[in-house]
Amino acid sequence: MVRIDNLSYRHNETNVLNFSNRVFEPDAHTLILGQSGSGKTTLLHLLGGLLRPTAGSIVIGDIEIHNLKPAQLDHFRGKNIGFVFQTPHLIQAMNVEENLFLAQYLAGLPKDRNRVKEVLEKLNLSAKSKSRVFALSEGQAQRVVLARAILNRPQLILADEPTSSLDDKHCDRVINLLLEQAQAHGACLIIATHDQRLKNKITHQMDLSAA
Amino acid sequence: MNIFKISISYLAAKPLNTFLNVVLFTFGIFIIVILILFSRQLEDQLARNTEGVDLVAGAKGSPLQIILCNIFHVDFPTGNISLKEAEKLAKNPQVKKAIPLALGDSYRAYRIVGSTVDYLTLYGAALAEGKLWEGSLEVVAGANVARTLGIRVGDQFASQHGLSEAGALHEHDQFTVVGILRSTNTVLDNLILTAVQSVWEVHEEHGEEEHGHEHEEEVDGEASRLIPGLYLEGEEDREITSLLMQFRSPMGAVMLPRMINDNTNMQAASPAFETARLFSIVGVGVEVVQGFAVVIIFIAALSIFIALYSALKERSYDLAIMRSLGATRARLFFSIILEGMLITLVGSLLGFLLGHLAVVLLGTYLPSGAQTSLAGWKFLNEEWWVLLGGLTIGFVAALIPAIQIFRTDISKVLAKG
Repeated sequence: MVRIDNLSYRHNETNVLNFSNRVFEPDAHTLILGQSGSGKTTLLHLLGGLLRPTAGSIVIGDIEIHNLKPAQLDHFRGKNIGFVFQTPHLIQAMNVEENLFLAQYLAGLPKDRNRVKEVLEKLNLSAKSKSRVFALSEGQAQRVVLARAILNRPQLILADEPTSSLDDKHCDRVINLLLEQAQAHGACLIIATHDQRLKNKITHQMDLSAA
Repeated sequence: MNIFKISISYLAAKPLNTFLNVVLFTFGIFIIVILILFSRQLEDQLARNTEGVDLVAGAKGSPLQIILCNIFHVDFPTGNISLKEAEKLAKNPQVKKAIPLALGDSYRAYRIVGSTVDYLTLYGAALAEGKLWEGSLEVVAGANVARTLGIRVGDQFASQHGLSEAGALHEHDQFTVVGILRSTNTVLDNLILTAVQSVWEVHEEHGEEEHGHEHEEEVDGEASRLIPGLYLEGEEDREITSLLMQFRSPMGAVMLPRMINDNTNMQAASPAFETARLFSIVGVGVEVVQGFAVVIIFIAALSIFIALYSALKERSYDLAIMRSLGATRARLFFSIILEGMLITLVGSLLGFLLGHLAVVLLGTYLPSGAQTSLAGWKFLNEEWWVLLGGLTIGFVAALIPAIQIFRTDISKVLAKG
């Protein structure tokens, strides 16, 4: 469960974002909608602890993440939150498998080969485990990013425009994968997007332009 | 996966860049290590060779030449001094011990030195086989001489006049090897030693017939202080090359050189002073090479800095992703510092390896007559400082790029995509 209360973030003097109070239930995947500049990404980064709120509170599970010290917040993020960004960015200097081991290491978890194998199998990437990242197709890279996001069994998966650059066919595939994986791990999925195609898939919505 | 693997992955992802930086750093350290090994061992060697000799008296000329000729045996004599004057000097109360040297001949570029047993004890020499010279034209060979020329006890050879291989042969007189010395790591290893009389005897053959054989029968007159078994009666015209002296007290250092230079036909030269002077001359060259090495290391550090700094721009998204995966800033800071230090660590170790290897190779290829033997695998204390310095340079070069970690706004980087 994720709860935001009186949350606001101030980019500069003129640009202050206020977010309405809301509770995100684990099984209620939510779309954050709104035009560019309405604060979708900001809210997502606040939820992921990448930004510090100017005021208000964010509680994930029973942790008030706005009160955590920087290093504690980093550890919490590694263990509990999975990110999917618009461009599927992987660490080029490492191969597919190493990218996943990196996610375990940085989260402070022990190296777990079986878990990596399992996740790669689930996403149909077993054959690519030793591939260099730049040798992957766009779709494969997307799946590796997804694998990385769910690897540590996070409570919360935050996706920022995961589908906006994709055609319908790929859009479908990615969103289905996200939902499937969130379901499988009992994670709460929150997607920030202006992609109208997702509206049929995810019913809970938070429209920032309306606020 | 661990912090080392992260750094190594990034280094391996840019092999040419990493290679260049390691090569630059290796080269700089290599030169510095060679300089350290050379100058230190040279100093040791010089110190060993001058030990126990406080003053050398030779013919008037350059004091440096006297030292190079009579202590290190690399230069030619300034001339001869009269035995009579040398005897007088040896009687001086300030002189504790005096050793005569008579040079002039060589055998296949190795010097034949006429002296006394005191010269051997000065360097703590011991016989490996055979015995010391007794009769005329008997010699004892130094360890290197025996090894490189393959000389054995009982061998005979004719000496050459002068100190190079081109000298005319003294074919009438054959020297006989009666003993071979153990290695002392001093100049003695490269000498062939004999009695002063033997050197005289060889040279009597051409042009000095007037000294003839009648003198050998002389048994009366004053006994020589310098040369055992020699009586001075009728030997007044004899000459030697130099006299090595030990003082009885520090007062000798004050009085003797002036006394010799002012009142005799001889020239006094202090081994300590002349080697120090020699070092101050050679030191300029050493400093130039050292400066060169420092410049190379500086360029290497700059290159590491530039590589890390410019990579940081490409990597800012990587670093933001790693933060999103739970990496603390401190950890990423450390991983970049580690990249810099890994390059300088590998560069330093390779530099040490190559430096020592080069000294070992130089040691084996050094011309046999050269006076320094090099021990390449000796690790000196100074080298720890070089290693420490190398790692510090890696740290400093990586510091500014690494500090950027604390300045980057990961949210902005990630939002840009």
